[in-house]
Amino acid sequence: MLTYITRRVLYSIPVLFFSTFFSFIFVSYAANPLLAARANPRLDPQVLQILIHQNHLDKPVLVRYFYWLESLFTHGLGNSLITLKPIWPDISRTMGHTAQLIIISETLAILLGVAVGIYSAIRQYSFFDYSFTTFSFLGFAMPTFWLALVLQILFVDIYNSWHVRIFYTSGLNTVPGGPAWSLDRAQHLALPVLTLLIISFALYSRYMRASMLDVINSDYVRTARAKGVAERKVIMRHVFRNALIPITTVAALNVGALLGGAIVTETVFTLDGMGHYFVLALGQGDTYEVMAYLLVTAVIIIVFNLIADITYGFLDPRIRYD
Amino acid sequence: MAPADDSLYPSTATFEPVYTPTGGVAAPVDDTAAAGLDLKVRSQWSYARMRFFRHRLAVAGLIGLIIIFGAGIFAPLIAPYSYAQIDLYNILHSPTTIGHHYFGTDGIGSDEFSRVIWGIRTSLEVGVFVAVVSTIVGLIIGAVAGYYRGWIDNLLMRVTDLVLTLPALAILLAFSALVGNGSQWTLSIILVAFFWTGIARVVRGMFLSLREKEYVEAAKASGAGDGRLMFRHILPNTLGPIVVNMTLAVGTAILTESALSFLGFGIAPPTPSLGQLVANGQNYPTQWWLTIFPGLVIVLIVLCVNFVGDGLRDALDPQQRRVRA
Repeated sequence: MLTYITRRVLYSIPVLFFSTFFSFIFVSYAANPLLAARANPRLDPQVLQILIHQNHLDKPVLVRYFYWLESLFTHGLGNSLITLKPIWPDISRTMGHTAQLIIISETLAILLGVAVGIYSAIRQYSFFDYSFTTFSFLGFAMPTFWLALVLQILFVDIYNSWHVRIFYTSGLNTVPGGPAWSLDRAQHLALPVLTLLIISFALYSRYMRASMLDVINSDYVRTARAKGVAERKVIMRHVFRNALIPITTVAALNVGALLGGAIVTETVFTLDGMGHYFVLALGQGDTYEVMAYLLVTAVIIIVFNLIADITYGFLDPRIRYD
Repeated sequence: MAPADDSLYPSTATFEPVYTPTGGVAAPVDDTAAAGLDLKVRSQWSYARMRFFRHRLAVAGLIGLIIIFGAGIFAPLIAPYSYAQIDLYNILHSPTTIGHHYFGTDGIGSDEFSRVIWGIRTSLEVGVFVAVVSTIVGLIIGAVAGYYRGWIDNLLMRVTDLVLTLPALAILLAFSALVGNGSQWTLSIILVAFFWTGIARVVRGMFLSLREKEYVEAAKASGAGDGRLMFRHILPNTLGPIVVNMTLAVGTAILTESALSFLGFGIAPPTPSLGQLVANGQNYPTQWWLTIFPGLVIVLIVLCVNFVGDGLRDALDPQQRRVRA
């Protein structure tokens, strides 16, 4: 097992190198950090030349990639090319907010999805099953940004009509920089959490249902029933525990899609999260900030893929990694 | 139809129970049974067609798609106004039948209904182009990788690894920032550049397993060349899942396009797109019709595409039928 993990970690180094290399080339051609500076009439052209030189923007893109790598290791993700401030404090702050959003919504989505999936599978083709099937088909078809906007419109309308503030529709706190765990934060986070929750819930409940039905129809469940094990025990001990295995993989592999969903959700609700940070950086053409986001998310995704494989090995002893 | 009638069928045909959308297990409906043993010869495709049209949701999805995409195709005939027409006397009007503003008007008085119809046309172009082109590219690369193995297989897997390490939306955003705000065609090419890997992996997997089958070995023994083996013997057996994947790719492409356009990195005005219309609606939180209608159309398109894809899966791929939704 340890050799397997080591091999995977070692393999992820060239993967990270190449994926950052290619994205650096895309992003540097896509983004021009000098656009705003050039348009600023008060900026002395000589100062601009010095800035360009200091940040190696006069070098070819290939060379700039290695300067970026150097700044990565010596300055911790380097400095922004526009504000010239270090990137790491911004990334760690926004990452905390995104983590809060994603962890809360995922935990709820998995719990609800598993519960609904089990019940739908036991009562297959019941009214309950059909309603949640319809719901999850809607969830698959719904663009995240639209769902977020519909919730926003709804609660703006509620506030405008009755002047009751149930949930806020933008920002993280009423006063910027407020406490991370408070009623105020909960009122702000509720709608973004609900958005991501609905989208992921559709996925998890569907997978859980399919995986439960898969196990229910297997031979050992028939054996358990035949020898007279109580139905409740069959479901909880024989079916549920085995049906849960694929869900762990689905949840871990879903992390990339979640980060993508967070980009959209945070943009709609103007949350100070990583996704919003990324969209702003891309709009301004700040290559280093964009790269910092891509690198951090790539590492997160690689780690989660590894976790998915390892937990799968633990949960399903038939799978061996040697 | 009683299951006992199965004995009347010729043993060569495969009749497995079909899960109908209404639930329960039903024997396949057979209209030749009434005529005794006078059986019609049916091809694989006519069975597939029968299975598809028995799937009620799939048929409903197909009809929905024909209506919505038909509106897009005939946009110049259906849309009461041009998508760029400005009418400053009638801005932000709520939905009304007066002047055919069924979906209201936006901040510069353009007719939202016309803009949605033209947006459907753009979405249709993107969805179909991306699905077809990425399927062709993915099919060729996946087939070669799965059949010959070797360096091309290795390359495919490594490229897939790279694509899978980054959030798709983020890298697509960076990519379309590189190409610049553009038409639906540049955006489609960007989407193809990412979509083909998924299809290539599916095709590769199927080729890997099918090339070891006995019938392929038999064909090889009777002197079939690589090309004949790949395209005559293996490919037809992979078509079911490929068609299903291609159908579902239409929906995914439309969703991705709308997300990119919404964030301002996709299709740029004046070309109308549904995502862009929703983004415009975001500026008017109290004018709900500007957000709800274009988004609802996206939901309907993707819902119908998914239903059709589901029906196709059941029709074309009966052995690998998943648990019915």
